[in-house]
Amino acid sequence: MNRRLFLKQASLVSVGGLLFPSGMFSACRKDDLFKGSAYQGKVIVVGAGAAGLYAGYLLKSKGIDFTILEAAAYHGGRMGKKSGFADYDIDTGAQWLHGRNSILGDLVAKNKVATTLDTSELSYWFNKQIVDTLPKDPFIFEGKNLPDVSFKDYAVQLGFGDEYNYIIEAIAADQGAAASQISAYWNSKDEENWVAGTEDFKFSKTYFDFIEEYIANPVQSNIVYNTPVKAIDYTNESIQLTDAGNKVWTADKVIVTVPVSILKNNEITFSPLLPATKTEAFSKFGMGAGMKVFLKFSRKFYKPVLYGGQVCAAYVDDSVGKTTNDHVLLAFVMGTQAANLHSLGSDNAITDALIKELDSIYSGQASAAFMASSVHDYTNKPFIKGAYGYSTVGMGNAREVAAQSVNDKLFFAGEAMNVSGHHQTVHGAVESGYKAVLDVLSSVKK
Amino acid sequence: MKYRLLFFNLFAGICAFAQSFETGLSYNYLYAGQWDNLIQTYNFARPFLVEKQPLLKHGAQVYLAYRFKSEKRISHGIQLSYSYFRSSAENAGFTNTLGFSALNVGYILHYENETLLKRVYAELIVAATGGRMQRRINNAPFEYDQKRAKALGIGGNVGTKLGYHLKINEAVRLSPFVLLSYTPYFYAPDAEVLINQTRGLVAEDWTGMLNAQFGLALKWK
Repeated sequence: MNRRLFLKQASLVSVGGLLFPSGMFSACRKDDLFKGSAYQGKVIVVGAGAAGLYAGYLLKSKGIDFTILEAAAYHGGRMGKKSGFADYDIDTGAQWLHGRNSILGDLVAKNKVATTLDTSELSYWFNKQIVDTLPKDPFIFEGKNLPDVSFKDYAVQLGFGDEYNYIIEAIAADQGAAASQISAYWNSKDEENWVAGTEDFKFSKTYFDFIEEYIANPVQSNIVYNTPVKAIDYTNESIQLTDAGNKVWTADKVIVTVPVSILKNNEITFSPLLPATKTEAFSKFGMGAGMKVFLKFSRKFYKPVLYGGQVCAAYVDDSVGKTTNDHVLLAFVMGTQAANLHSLGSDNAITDALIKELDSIYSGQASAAFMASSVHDYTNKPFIKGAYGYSTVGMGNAREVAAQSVNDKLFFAGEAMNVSGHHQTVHGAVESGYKAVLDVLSSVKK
Repeated sequence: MKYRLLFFNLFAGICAFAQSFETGLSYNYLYAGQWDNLIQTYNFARPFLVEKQPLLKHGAQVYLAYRFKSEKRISHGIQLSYSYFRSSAENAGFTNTLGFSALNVGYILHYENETLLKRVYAELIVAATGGRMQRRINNAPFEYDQKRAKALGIGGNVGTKLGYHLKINEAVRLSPFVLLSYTPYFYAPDAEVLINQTRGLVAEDWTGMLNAQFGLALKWK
């Protein structure tokens, strides 16, 4: 072979080899699911919390006809904000972005939303003293092969004495639970899939503002407020939803995003009845009382984070990450402690109980510096009735069963229905929302 | 000094015992069903990213191979290859890049029959695969919890290669080739974590990869 012929053959082969396959294969697989197959049916989303809002946001982006029916006069569910209490807006609901490796982490990054890593040091109220370390590490609820007993019982099994009770309670409170009810085993199983990261971030504005701007605003015109759904009849092809005012709404697919407490209490009746396995799964969820009480003081005398109070197991400096001259302490109260405070019957009584405890911890400084309080009791909210869904002893695969669709007509979302380890979070609710839309469209594709 | 000796011995060996040394570069087309599903779900779930993340399809491979008794109709040898695939989507303020690199170490069974088909050869390659996927945001490695996000995995690889010799001189040949291979990437537990930021939501922690390669090799005999 002469040099000219060789070069010609070689260049033809190499150019052909490089161009042919990329052109041939580029059309083989598309980069989005369901492209070119916009669903023509009507979707109703029940609930305008994070899951419902994100489901709506996705449906809108896909050009699908949808309506969000919200029971309350506002959207956001367990997110909210209050202006005027301090010189910054307070998050009355969810306030920490838990980890950056999530869909909301991407949304924050893309829009360069101002957040601050919360590096607050943890202290303990232990044996009537404030200490920075404990004789025994109380964070014992992670890892494999934990027994299916409550946090409280597991701590006793490991030799933790009564002096640790309210510290264990604070750790359970972080899961929205009472230590006597949450399962060490099933909670650790849930957390095995947690991939978002362990760092907590606070928004310079509020979490609610972030969701409002990027997710709620685009779908606000599709939300119908003050419309609690009381019955869903999915007997026929067309699903009928009846609201509290007896107005009937029709849809081809329904995404139910109400808190699991509403489903547990059968506040929505389904016709035909939901499968027994599903209602049994709902019943296995825990969803205890929960409240956030903001206490404003004239000066800062408190630790950034203090675990171990008998009235409130976790006190947190709320002004971390905010531009403020005010001093606001958050009492983060969950489970039995929240139920106890709730039973006091008034915001003033709740505040008094907390100030009294803070006085005992900080030698009377709380009442001396106290200015105002703002109580947000989620147990009182008629369409929420609690904090968030946690795994009880004997939970089994209830979360997976609860999240399954019914007859390709009813789809379930919400923080409790997140089956990939991110339940009890806003980003988990968002994931469950998009999974429900994905399942809706997959059911059509069948 | 010892590296020079090693180098000398290698080439002395090639010359003395009709062994051959080969290096090549190829375009790689990848089909990994589970990862396609993850990227599709990533795109589906993020309407705020207007520019969609392309599927992880296109890449390149470079390899080195060493074949013993290369004058025989059937010979065998070893091969080390490195592949890299990349997918990048640029959105205002958010450029997301996925990169997957794989290292294969394998065995080659080479067959050529000049009387049957002149200049054509075929190879069967069986290899072990180790891979790493990474994510970059705005051209910086994505980190959380002070750690770089990455997904490691292991698998096997089996492929068949068909090539054609173009003789440059007595010792050197240029060889265009096509290679089809399958990689059961049977343990990659964090691929969904890296691509879609979830675990177990839409995909398994393994994927099967089909790979089509078109490339050029340079061989010394």
